[in-house]
Amino acid sequence: MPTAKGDGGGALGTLRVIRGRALAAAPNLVGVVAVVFLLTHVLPGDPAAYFAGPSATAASIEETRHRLGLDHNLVEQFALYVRGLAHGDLGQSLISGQPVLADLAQRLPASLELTLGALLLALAVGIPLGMRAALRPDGWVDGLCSAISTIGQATPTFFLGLVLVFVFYYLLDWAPAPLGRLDSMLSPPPGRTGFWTVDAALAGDLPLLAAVLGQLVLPVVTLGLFGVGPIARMTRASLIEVLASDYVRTARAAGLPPQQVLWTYAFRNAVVPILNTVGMVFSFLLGANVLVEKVFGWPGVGAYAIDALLASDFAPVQGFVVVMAFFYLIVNLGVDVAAALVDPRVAVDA
Amino acid sequence: MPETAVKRSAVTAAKIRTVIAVALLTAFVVAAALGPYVAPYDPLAPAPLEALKAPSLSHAFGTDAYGRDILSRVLVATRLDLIIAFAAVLIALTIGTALGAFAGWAGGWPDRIIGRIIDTIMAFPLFVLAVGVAAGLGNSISSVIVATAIVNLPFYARQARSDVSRQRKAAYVEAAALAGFSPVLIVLLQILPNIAPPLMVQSSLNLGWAILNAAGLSFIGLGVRAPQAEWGIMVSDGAANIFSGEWWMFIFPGAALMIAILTFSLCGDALRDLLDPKRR
Amino acid sequence: MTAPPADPTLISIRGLTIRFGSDAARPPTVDGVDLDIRPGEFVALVGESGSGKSLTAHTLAGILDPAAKLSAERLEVAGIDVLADGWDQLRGRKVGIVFQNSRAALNPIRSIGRQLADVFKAHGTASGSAIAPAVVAALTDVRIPDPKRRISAYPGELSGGMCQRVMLAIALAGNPSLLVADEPTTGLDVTTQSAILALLLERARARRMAAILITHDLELARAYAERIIVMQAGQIVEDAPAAALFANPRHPYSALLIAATPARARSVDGLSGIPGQTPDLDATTPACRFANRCGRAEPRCRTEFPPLRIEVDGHGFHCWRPL
Repeated sequence: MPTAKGDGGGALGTLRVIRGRALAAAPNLVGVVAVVFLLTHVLPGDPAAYFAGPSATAASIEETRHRLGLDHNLVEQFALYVRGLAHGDLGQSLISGQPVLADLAQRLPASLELTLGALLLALAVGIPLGMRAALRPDGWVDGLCSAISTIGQATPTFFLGLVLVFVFYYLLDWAPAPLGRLDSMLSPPPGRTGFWTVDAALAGDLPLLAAVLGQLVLPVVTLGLFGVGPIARMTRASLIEVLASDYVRTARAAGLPPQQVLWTYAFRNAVVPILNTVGMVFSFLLGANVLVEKVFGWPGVGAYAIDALLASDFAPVQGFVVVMAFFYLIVNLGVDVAAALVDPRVAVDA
Repeated sequence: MPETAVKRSAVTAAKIRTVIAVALLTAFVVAAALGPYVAPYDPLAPAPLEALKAPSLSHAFGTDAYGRDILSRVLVATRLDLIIAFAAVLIALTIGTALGAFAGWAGGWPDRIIGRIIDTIMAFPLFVLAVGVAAGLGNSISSVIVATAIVNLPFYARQARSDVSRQRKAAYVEAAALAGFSPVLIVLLQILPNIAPPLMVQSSLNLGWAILNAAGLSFIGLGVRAPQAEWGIMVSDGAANIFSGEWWMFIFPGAALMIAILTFSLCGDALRDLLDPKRR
Repeated sequence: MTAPPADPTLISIRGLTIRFGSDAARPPTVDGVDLDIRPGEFVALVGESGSGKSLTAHTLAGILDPAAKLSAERLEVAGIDVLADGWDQLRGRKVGIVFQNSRAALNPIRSIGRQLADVFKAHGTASGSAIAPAVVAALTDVRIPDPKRRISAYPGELSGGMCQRVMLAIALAGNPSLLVADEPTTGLDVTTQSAILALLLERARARRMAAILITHDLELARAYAERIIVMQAGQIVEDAPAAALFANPRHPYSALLIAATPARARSVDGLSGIPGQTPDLDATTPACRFANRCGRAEPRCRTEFPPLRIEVDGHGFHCWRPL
């Protein structure tokens, strides 16, 4: 029988959990960096030629080779690469001429706004749907849940996006043109966060906020819809199991108010599997982001990486993969920590 | 509803599902095999006079910007998409199962190293990794296949590893080892047949994901090049024409994708029903 | 068919019928149970598994399985007419229940102090700053050592016996008039068993509560209850003061049950059982559901359920051919 540490620890306990999980995640970070390194350095052909670009001369290829340390052996190259990463050096983009890190940083808020919006949507729809299905199994909500799940799994993200654009923009004219974050007539809000929703709200510019949100609706729905299925399904399954548990029976028998039984005794105990599902959904979202950005002309990191890839500019692609993997690790860490906070038994394994 | 009636309707629903799954699967396999021979028009030949025609009697799915018949292209694309998916899943299945079985059998260091490799693959958002691999290997169909295979590998590796390491302690395995059979033979002849059912179900589901993955990669321009007919690239071509209202260009290949993925998902469910001893 | 109306009863039940499924032709799982319990009375409800004793107990506590369909002529618990007003006023406030497998019955991710506090708040038995001392007092009441430290403990950190004590504290927190104990000692070792039961009854007595002990163990029933009710396949067959039941069982099933208790056997060969099993319920089920296993059955037993007969000392039974 595992013993939890009880309520003891508080903030200190949380830090301990974070540290434990971070240590556990560290080997994955190393692995990720190694894989990304291998991807571009074990290419068939001459890596230097790849990085120098399709229009390079023999001299510039040699210069690139020397600059990127490609004339060293593989191990030394890896060391150079890691050292570069640690200093935030992700290489240079041939197209923009900028450091990849700068390009990514500039485009990241656009992608994050999309991903986080989609995640919020998936939670806002998925959890209530799953709860309703759990409280009334075999009802029509339950059937709706399964249907959304099955169809959601089978629909390619890009196809859904196009269908939504066709219906809501072309046919119904309800949605604005899918040409990026904002109509070219309007200028983006002033602000530091880069999240135009936040910036517009902070600037008190409501019409601009409405415009920004309008552009966000279709892409967020496209992305988010795929999260609804798994989250609803897991919420339903987890809650059904918990509602049938002995301790929920005790809570009811003791006369606790139904709302308290549902939220404090049932939902909280059902949360951990849902959190894990959120982690998985986020992983999917980070990948599908690329497709949605393409469909909606969104100026995010995904579109940046794909454009670079098609132009044979490889440093941005490499940087994109590293950054996305890094984000995913952080999200997983966050999910683990949240799970440990909710369920003290989980923290024990740290 | 009385218990027996509920069970009966669930069983009937499952039976209907199985029938639909098998029917659709057959349709796709036939389309893949015979597509090029029964297609009414040449999928690759441009016919500028026929460009951008809406669906009609002569062109059931309409034509694209080059005047090519979309029905023919969708039919012919079946072969390419299914081949990519099957190839990717086959590679993932064999290499993943082999790695997982080895890790499960050997334990110790090999188990830990292979475990780390698998964990590392899973540490990436999978489509991002697929993009990275396709980028690293060059823009071709084979790199799409390899990328999709790598991304699907962990499921098989994990399944095989846990099954083999569990079965390893079973009495029949000990007996075989004592009798002098080599580990490879034991795994192949005794353990794998036991774990084949869940693997088959998993493969069916994976085929759906593989199609999704490959289509996503070709949508963004990786792997398949014009003028080849492939569902993902057809959707991509059709995307540009949404603003001018030529909906048939992207709807039909997209629908083909959806139905194909659903088919494999249903097949997976049908297989699960068939192989799950509890449901018999 | 009514029980003697003498004392004001805490619980008065007539014709309690519980069925599952929508097949009206199928005999109900609990078949027309009549039950009276007076304030402060200690009763044991005894029977094999499938006898309906747990269902009856759960009905009293207001936590009947939602899939179960209940009907009754009368269902009054602690002054509440349940058929008219429902169970909301009942749970925790008039009736407290203790289950078996106590660790599973406590919320694993909430400290026991908070779980107790939740019940106090729900029933208004304590509020605000009075809650913390009330929780400590409740834990002390059930003899948990070092209660102040234990408030922040989780169920996973406690032994089975301690979890059972916490459950008792939770059941008592709303100051109910009836305590239902559903096989509270199953899974505990013998020493803990007697300690828990003794505690249970001592606390109930101190608060002048009535108590119903659900058990399959006749010896336990005899040791701790004043009155024993024997159930078989959803029907009450005998209802007598404990001593009277053991000295002079009137229903054949009770006699067999008493004879089957291991304590009575002098050797392993002396162990006896009861022929047959608890019957499946279908169209062939006889009116008295013991008829097919009874050595004394007559044709009347299969067609008409025997009415209650009460003899001296309130010894009641349902049998056409009592012993």
